[in-house]
Amino acid sequence: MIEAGKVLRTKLIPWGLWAAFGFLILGGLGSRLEGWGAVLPPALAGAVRTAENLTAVFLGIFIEAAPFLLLGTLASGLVEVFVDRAAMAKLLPRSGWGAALGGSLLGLFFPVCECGVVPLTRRLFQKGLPLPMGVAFLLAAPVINPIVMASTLAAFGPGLVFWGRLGLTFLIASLTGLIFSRAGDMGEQLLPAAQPMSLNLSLEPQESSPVEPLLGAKIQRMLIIAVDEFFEMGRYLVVGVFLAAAMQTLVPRSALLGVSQGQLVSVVVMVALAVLLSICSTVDAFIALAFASTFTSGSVLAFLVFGPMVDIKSTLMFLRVFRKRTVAYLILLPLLMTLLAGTIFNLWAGG
Amino acid sequence: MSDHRYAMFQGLITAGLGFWLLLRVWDGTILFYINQRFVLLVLLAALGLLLLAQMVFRQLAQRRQSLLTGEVQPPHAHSGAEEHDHTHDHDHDHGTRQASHLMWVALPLVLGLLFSPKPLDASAVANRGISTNAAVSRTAAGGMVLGIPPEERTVLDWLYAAEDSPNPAELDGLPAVVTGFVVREAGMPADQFLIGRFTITCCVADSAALGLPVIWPEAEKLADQGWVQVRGTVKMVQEGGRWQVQIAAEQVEEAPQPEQPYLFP
Repeated sequence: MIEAGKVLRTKLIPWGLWAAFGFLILGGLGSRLEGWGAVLPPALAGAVRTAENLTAVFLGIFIEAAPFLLLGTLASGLVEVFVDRAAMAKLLPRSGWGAALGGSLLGLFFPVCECGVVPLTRRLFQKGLPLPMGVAFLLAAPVINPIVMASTLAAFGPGLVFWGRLGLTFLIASLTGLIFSRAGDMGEQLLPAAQPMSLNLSLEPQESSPVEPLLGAKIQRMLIIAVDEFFEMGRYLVVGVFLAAAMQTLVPRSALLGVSQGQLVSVVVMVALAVLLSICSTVDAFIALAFASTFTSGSVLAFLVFGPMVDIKSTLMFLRVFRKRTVAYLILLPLLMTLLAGTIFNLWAGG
Repeated sequence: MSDHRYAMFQGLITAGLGFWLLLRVWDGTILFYINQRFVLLVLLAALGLLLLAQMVFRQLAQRRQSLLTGEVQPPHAHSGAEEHDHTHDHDHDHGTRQASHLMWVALPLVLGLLFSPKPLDASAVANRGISTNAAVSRTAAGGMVLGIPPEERTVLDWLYAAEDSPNPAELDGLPAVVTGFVVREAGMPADQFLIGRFTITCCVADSAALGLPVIWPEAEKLADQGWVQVRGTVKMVQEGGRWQVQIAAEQVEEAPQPEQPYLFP
């Protein structure tokens, strides 16, 4: 009798949860709140329309970003379960220069965009990645990776914008990484959760199980880690997406477009736009193309370089990895360098 | 929140998001949110979410079973300053399992269920502005649009046609049947309106409204933002050295919103 109860609980509960959820969703389908606007006074109906538009934009960015976040968290789980710390330590460059330059190019092997790169970087830090390398990777990987290079090439062709984007990203990410190599102790920059295991759990033995777990168990562990991280990072993604959607729905775009030709102002505006729109770096080249005819080329370049490094959603996710002061530097350093580079490009290329 | 309960909600929300995305792909309303190029990616993500949910549920069941057979200690709730040992099999960063994570990640699901899938409304033009030339990002090869019969060309196709045609003046006089929403901008002549559509390159966040000027004596009487179908002939006008497509309307009829309200450049 007790045995039967056990089987019932262990086998049926998971499937029961599934069934309950399917039922809930299908039930929701029939009774969705249709035609809100029709029964409301005009002022309120306008507000509902705005809310509906905001929801559409919010869900749009979320749906677009979720697969990439998922990929990043899966990569993070993969690194945690299958990458050995000791083996990785042997491969890592020792000097600040090597780490910063290497970090900028690491994206070629981990094709992630700015949503996925944050959980992955945090995991790599835990595995002992040096700070300058991680910082350079975090900033450069969303651009210097095969997918984004292909989409930029498709949008702009192999011209000044394409090479400018790659070159500037590499330069800014490496320089920022290098600056961080002088920053001293990792513990002062990173949150405890992102620090290498030896720093925050030094009392715990690294190899807790003498027997190598089965592959199936390893994969399950990897997926569970991915779920946990999807929720931890996903929270910041959702907040960021919501802010970006609200900005888009409530602030008129024309307020920005009036200043498209100033050598410096246009760069500032496009950088602001990149942050506000928070578009995934895998597709932002196509968006930038829409501005290429009205805005200065330096400002379009700044959009393409800064957007993948810093935007609303990635900034919020940074706060899960770095201390607040470090996040401020992570934003300000690339920002200043991008503004400078964009303006110089404008003056040099004649706008 | 106890690990057990947290994991259960995690599973439920993950499964819910997966199911919701699957439904949107199934009934086609996913195209209210993203460009069609990304549908496959979203489908894979939905399946991935369901797989993750299944993993969570499976681990919950395994935990319960080993609990019943007495293999491990009961999972502790991470509350208070209790000293805990790492004998049981879990690896999470302590203090990261909070109810607020669950609530935020559930927000897309809640909004998705609360508001029925709806594309961006024409009222958003007021905020985003509308353009009468195809200065939008373009992924399709140039010149393709010239192979489309004139009556089947969309707002976007006509703008491309004016751009691609070696001699844009030749488009003059071609028949046009175009569907879109009505936009009346301040300062427009009384016999003109724009017939507009949103274009989506990636997701709704980058939507840009495009419009063709339509000449129609009763333009003022049209309901702003309503969907119409315009029948007429193309009129090519030169504005500042650039060819602009206009439509001289013979008939303007109310029309239902197309199943796919956006155009994908």
